[in-house]
Amino acid sequence: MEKFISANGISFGYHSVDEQDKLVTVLDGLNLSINKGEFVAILGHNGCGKSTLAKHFNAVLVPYKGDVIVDGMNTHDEEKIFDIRESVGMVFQNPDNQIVATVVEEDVAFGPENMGIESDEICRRVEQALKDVDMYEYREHAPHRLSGGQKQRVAIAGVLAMRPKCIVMDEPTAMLDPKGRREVMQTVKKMNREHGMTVVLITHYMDEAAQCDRVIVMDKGEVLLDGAPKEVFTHVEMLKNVGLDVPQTTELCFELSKAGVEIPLDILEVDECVDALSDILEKKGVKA
Amino acid sequence: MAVIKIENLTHVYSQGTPFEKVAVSNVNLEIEQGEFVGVIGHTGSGKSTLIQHINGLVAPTSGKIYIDGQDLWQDKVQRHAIRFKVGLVFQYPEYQLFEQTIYDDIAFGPKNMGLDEQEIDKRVRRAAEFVGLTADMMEKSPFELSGGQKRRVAIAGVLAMEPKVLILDEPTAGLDPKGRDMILGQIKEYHETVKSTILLVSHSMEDVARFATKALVMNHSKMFMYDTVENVFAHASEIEKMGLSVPQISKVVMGLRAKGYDIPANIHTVEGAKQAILKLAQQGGMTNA
Amino acid sequence: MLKDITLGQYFPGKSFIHKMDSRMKIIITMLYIIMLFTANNIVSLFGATALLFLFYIVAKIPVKMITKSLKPVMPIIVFTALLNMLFMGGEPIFEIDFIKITELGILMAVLMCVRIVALIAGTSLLTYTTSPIALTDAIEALLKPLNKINVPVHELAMMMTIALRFIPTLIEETEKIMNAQKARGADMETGGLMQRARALVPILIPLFVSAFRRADELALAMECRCYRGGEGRTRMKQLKMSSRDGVALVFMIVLFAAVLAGNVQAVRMGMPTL
Repeated sequence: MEKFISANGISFGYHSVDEQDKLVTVLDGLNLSINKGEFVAILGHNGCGKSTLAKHFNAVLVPYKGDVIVDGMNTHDEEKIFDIRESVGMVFQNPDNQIVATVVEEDVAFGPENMGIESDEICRRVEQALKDVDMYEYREHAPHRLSGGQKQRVAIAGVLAMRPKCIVMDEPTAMLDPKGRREVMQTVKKMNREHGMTVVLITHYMDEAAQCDRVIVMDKGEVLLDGAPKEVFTHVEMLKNVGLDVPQTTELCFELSKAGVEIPLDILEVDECVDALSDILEKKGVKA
Repeated sequence: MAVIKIENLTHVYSQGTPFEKVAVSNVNLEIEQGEFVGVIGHTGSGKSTLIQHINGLVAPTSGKIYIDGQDLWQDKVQRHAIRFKVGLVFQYPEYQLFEQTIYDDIAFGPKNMGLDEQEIDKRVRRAAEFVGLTADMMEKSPFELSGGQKRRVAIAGVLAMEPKVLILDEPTAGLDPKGRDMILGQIKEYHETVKSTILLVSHSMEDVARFATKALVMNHSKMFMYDTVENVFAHASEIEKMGLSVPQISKVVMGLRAKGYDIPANIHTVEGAKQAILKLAQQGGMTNA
Repeated sequence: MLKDITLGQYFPGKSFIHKMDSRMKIIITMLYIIMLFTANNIVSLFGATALLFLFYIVAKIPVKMITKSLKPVMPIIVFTALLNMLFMGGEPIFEIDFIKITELGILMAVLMCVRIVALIAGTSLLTYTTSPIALTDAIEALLKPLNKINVPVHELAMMMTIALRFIPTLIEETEKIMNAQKARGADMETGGLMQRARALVPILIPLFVSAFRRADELALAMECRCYRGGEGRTRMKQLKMSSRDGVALVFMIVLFAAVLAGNVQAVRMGMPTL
């Protein structure tokens, strides 16, 4: 597969204010690549460096050691900064703090306007982006009247209108209710499946990570686990040790296997779990 | 005696304007002292308005609220006193911190209650201990802390008022799993030690299943149910229709029951499911556990 | 609702005046203001005011909105009227002690009042028929020449837009913080002036902290969306003048000319003038 983003041995830190300029390391020689069209989740407890990593993907931050190559462009190359930001869009946690304009469509147009695109083309893009996130009928609304999930979809549309190749989302569902979370996940999945958009999703919700193609677990500025969700979530104890969770079905299977029941450990979905359990019960001669 | 008693409570926002909206409609409710109640409902179901009534922040359009047998809206002086019996921790409470030191911020509530220095000091230290703040942190500025720590300071600020009823509106929103478990664990410990009544508003049915004894379900400004967690989650299909989710485990149990296995319907935690399945397997006679 | 404060006084609509280019509306409003100060006699002033009523009807803005917009300036109107009435020379028709009211004084007071009323109602019509965002865009476009003398016109307009966007958010936030502090027993309703001022601290500090945090996050989000100031930036909605705007401008110029002619005529006929 074609690499879209690659981080080669990147380190990043900041100078602590209270401890005499001591350097606090956030990323420590991290290696990682993200392929074109992939849907990747990044997990890790607060302060593990995942947000810092995300900001390296569109040159908001640059590593002090190592290189980040985005679509063939090095983020150290200052002339390419805006090209990189055009190809990697970012969505943040708080939907309120990333909407600039007082009207939905004006806000979606903000990115393309900054790119210097001509007016007719902006109109087409705004319309398309709002339709993609299912917010077209709200185009003339004031953002502060929308629900959290709707605002976050407007923020996504704002990024889509720039026609990026990749979208990086830093806990986009953390402040939303279950309905808003579902809306956002549906939208993102659709962008990935139907439009081949590369998606990097930082999240604390294991059920969202379970819906991705690939899960990366970070701890102390390094990659701890990297693989398909089914594979990563079998490491129940390791995940718990770094302050993370697993889906309840996975945890149940893990607990049962600890108790001596032979059951596969890579079960993420409810139906899968029910089938596996009834298989086992049947083998044990329990009548349904 | 019920510590919270609500009679025919109705609240209408912006009455008489084009924005008129019924937020709470004819709610009747009695909550006993010492319960741990999970409050669930979709956004806009009226649960936020309901809990603000219990604290007296919002006046009912009609109906009555009794705290400890006293009518909350009978007179103004009494209301101020009754309000101290009900502590309310809002969503993202860390945004209400303002004092120069953590100690002063936690002491803000007790000071407003007019307690003496000694009592305030005792309460501040006890509350700080509950949320895992060490004594050496007390003179630090709350703005130096991490997000999760700030939130614990804010919660301590309400705990220090030692309310009979403690209401928390989504205290774990935006936290990582570790921070979430830490706060919920501390709330549980507080509940067990102080024996106060707790109302926990949460979108996470998993958390309600793990910590609460009773669940209160709001739907479209009406109270749908107030019962034990087991009985509430037994209405899983209705709850899912409201746009809420039931724990994954409850769904697994339902799936097994649908296949005809004899597993009790009132299981909603991983630990409970594990025990039930092991027991079932044992009945099969061939367990290798 | 408090949250809708940023809609300001805007009445959404589809009238001739609503559809006009916001830049032209500002230009015409300016001309109208100048005209009001040029008109110095009863005929011209009443003519200009009568036309304003016509504009209100065309824009489908309830005329009672005029009285509403006048309320805050009422003391000024009364004061001006009294001043004109009391200190104008001429034949007194009413006299006690040093108070001397003349026919001329009454006339002048009335003219002055009409002028102020028309001034307020005219500028209000602009805000009633133009959304704040269109106004901001128009101001930016009209002030563009000032860029040459290093006035940061685009930045000012951007600040204005962001302010409009965040006022409702911050109002909501203030309400939340107030409730949170009230729940901690903060008393904001009783006590003397000093006590009340002190009671604001627990609200203002969190509000400022939050505003700075929001500003920080917004700046990052804008940067990620390739914001790099006004240079090279295009707009989705371009302000476009149409024949409608031309018609309006011609109408305004004709009106202005008529007022000037009226002034000359008034002097010639010896009518009292302001």
